Amino acid sequence: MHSWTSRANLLFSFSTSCLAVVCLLAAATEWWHPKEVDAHLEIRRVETFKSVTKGNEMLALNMKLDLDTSKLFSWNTKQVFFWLQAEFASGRHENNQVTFVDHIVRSTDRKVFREENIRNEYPIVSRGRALRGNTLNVTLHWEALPKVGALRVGSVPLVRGYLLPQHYFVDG
Amino acid sequence: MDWKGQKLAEKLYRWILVVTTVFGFVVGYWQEDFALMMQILAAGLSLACVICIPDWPFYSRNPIKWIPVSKKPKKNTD
Repeated sequence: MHSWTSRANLLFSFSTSCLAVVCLLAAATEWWHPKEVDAHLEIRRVETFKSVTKGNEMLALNMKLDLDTSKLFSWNTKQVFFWLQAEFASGRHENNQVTFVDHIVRSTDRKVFREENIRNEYPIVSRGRALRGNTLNVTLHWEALPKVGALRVGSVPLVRGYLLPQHYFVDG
Repeated sequence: MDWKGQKLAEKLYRWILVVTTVFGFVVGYWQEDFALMMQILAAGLSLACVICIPDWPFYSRNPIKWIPVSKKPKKNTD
């Protein structure tokens, strides 16, 4: 404390400790914010179902999505990342998972999505020819990224047992 | 700055920072605004810097009483 430099040093160190305490408190407040999401997905039809090179199959779906992510946000949330995942069983593997839609919702963005006609962003590709006549499950996964604190994740099953066509076709 | 002044400066910056931190957290949580909380903390830090770092005159009100210079002649070490 003899010189202004040592005073400044002590002051800034103490302020860093205060900042750490405030961040701990802010992270702790997440306990009182249960996170839930309202989601409904309806697969309207299969638009394209064809075989692609190297013995794989590709699927394009037309869907209706109702999604409300506003309850995932709190004062401590920076952004939410969610993705839709298609799951099916094939002869080779018990569980195949393909992400076909994903989106980042920032805390200042629109949080409610009502899409009547959306197509999958990424093609649903299956290695091998296991999709004909197979059933598809779709799950929504979300991750809420905080400003300080722990990452919260969750998932919601949306579609169970959607039956795929027996034959390939291109509808467009 | 004298000793009492140093103690005062330390007490002042600790109080300012702690009160600003608590106030900032409460207001930020109530208004659901994380940025507001950080702004209040920054304001408190600036206030503490202005009050406690420079050597203001009110920190030197109890000057150190040095013992007066001794009148004894210097001893020869012969």
